Amino acid sequence: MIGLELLLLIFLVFCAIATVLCKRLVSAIIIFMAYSAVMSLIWFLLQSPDLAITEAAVGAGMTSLLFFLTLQRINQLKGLEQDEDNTKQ
Amino acid sequence: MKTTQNNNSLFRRILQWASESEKESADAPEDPERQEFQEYLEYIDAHDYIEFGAYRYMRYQQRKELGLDEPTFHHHIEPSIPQKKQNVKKSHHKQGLLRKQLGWYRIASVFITCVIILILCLVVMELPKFGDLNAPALNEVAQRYLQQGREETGAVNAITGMILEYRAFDTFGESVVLFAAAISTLLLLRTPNQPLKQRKAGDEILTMVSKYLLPMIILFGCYVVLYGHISPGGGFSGGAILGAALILASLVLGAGEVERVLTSKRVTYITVFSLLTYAAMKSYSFYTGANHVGWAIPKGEAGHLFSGGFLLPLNLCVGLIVACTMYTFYTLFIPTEEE
Repeated sequence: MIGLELLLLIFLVFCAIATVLCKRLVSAIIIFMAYSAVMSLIWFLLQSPDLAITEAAVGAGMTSLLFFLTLQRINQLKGLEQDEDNTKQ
Repeated sequence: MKTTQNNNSLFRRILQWASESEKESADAPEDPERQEFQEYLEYIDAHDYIEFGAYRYMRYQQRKELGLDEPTFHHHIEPSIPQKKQNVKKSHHKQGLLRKQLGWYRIASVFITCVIILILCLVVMELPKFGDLNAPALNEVAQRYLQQGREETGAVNAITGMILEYRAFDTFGESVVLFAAAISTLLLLRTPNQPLKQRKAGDEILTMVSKYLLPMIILFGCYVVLYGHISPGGGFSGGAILGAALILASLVLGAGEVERVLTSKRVTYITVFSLLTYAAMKSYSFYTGANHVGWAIPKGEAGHLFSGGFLLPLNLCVGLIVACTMYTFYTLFIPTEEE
């Protein structure tokens, strides 16, 4: 169990650094989502299932969704039809 | 992280990133948007201030006149374009003060981050160990909550008992903050009486998967809200799940379909109603000395759905507030019909 916890913690640090160093905004958000998911697992291992549920719902779900929507709104989500249309005009 | 690109080691990349010569070196990892923004910073440093959009449009026109292959705004940069771009730049740009100090900003930011990390690590080392009996947080308050919480609140899940019974006023403040944030952004950004755009997600896989997944998400959200006083969960987390389900429905079915049932007016009404119900119940219970004298909802048998007295309706209120607020935040981002 300790080994699993250590693995998760290392992954957490890795995710945190990768989020900052990542150049593409979309990948940064996805890494941030992974960070939240792992964080919720760690909350569960620390015997606080309430926090785990909240972290999974708010951290991995809502926050990154709002980030994605912001990116879409400022046209930074690449590869969308809408984006290409805007460029052609 | 693109560590493999150009076989650059991480250390070299960091050095390049911190030094000013990053852009001039040909094999440095290029990010067209960032480069463009830096050029923009130089430009407004050297010339007068203009908006970024205006600057981009100007550049776009320039490159179109020069006859570059693909005068796109910022993506699909061909490998040959960056050099030509610099030719365009050198014709009328000169190095400004901001550009000179950009390297120092980066080094300073790294330094400050390292100092903060060091301080936080030192503080964490000072903290008592996990489950330490002598921890200052483990005093008579925690003992009372754990020993008598079940009798006093009727909640099997001690955390819900704490949040909504002993610390109900904090939760109320939390809900008010959420509501205030939602309502002020709604007032500022949403133009009323304007139908949302009917744009469905064209993705087949997303539609099929969410068709089966959506009822389950909603069911799980309702379970987390309703059983908050028995099993892990509660109003806030369940509300967040319900809000996510609403957003997913709005993405898949098209924003207008959900808007037909849940207009922004109705969403606000639900939020206000829940908030007022919460305030009424809690202020009554505080008024009577936090003991629900006179208007006691029977506590019921602990472990059953209808137990815990006030906890179930309070959980419902918080859940509704959170779900509606999340959905409101989402609706602010969808373009309306006119745009």
